[in-house]
Amino acid sequence: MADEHRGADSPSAGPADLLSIAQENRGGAVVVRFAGEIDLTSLRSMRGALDAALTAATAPHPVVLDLTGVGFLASGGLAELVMAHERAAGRDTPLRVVATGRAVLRPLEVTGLAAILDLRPDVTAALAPPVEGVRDQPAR
Amino acid sequence: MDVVSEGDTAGTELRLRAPAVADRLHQLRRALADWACRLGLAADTISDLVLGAYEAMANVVEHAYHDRAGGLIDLYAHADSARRTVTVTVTDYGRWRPPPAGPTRRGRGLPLIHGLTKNAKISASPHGTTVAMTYQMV
Repeated sequence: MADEHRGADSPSAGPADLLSIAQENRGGAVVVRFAGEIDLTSLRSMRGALDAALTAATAPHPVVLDLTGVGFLASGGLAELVMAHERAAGRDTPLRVVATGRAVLRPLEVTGLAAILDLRPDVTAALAPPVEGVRDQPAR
Repeated sequence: MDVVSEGDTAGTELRLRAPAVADRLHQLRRALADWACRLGLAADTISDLVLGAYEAMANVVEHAYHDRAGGLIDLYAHADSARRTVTVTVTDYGRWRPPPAGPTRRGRGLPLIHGLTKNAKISASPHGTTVAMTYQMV
């Protein structure tokens, strides 16, 4: 009896088939594009990419997570986003999330994370510098 | 072991059984999405239903069979045309780990399930746990 499993439903289809990740450095800022599906099998590569982006970025330039191409986002991915958000805050690096599709916005809204993460409509808006003059003056 | 599938000919039911391992879940998710699509459900309903089912199955993978291998997930979906509802149940035959004490960054699965449908019920017994999620057909 053959013990090979092949074909479209091949159980050997690994995380690499479900999620692709590309990092682009822009000056001190970093843009990471995610495309595909974020589920239990993609959390390890997602965390690796988030760590690499936070390390590569130079504060106060942002890390931008472009989730425009993500068609499925499960709770494990939400947890990774929250942890990256906290690590970014510790480095004074703004973390911005580009999300437009319902597959990403729906789980963010249902769990209340849409109010916590810095959501932007596109990468250009996410890379925009903060408005001048809003920083607190240092006390003398 | 492959996914075992068995449904009625009219397509109002879907029954799948698979090993409770992470890399099988997308297969179950796809099969559920295809079934819901054939039923003619609205795209938003399909994505809610599939995400809720995935979260329930992910809980099984992560929490139900912590002390033994070979655990199973049963996924059952059924359309009630009179009530205009679709119900998805995810059943395991293990025991969920108690949630860790104190704040945790994980554990957004259950809030997500309850946020996607007001009609989600979790029934636990010493023999296993069933999560039943009902959605309105629109």
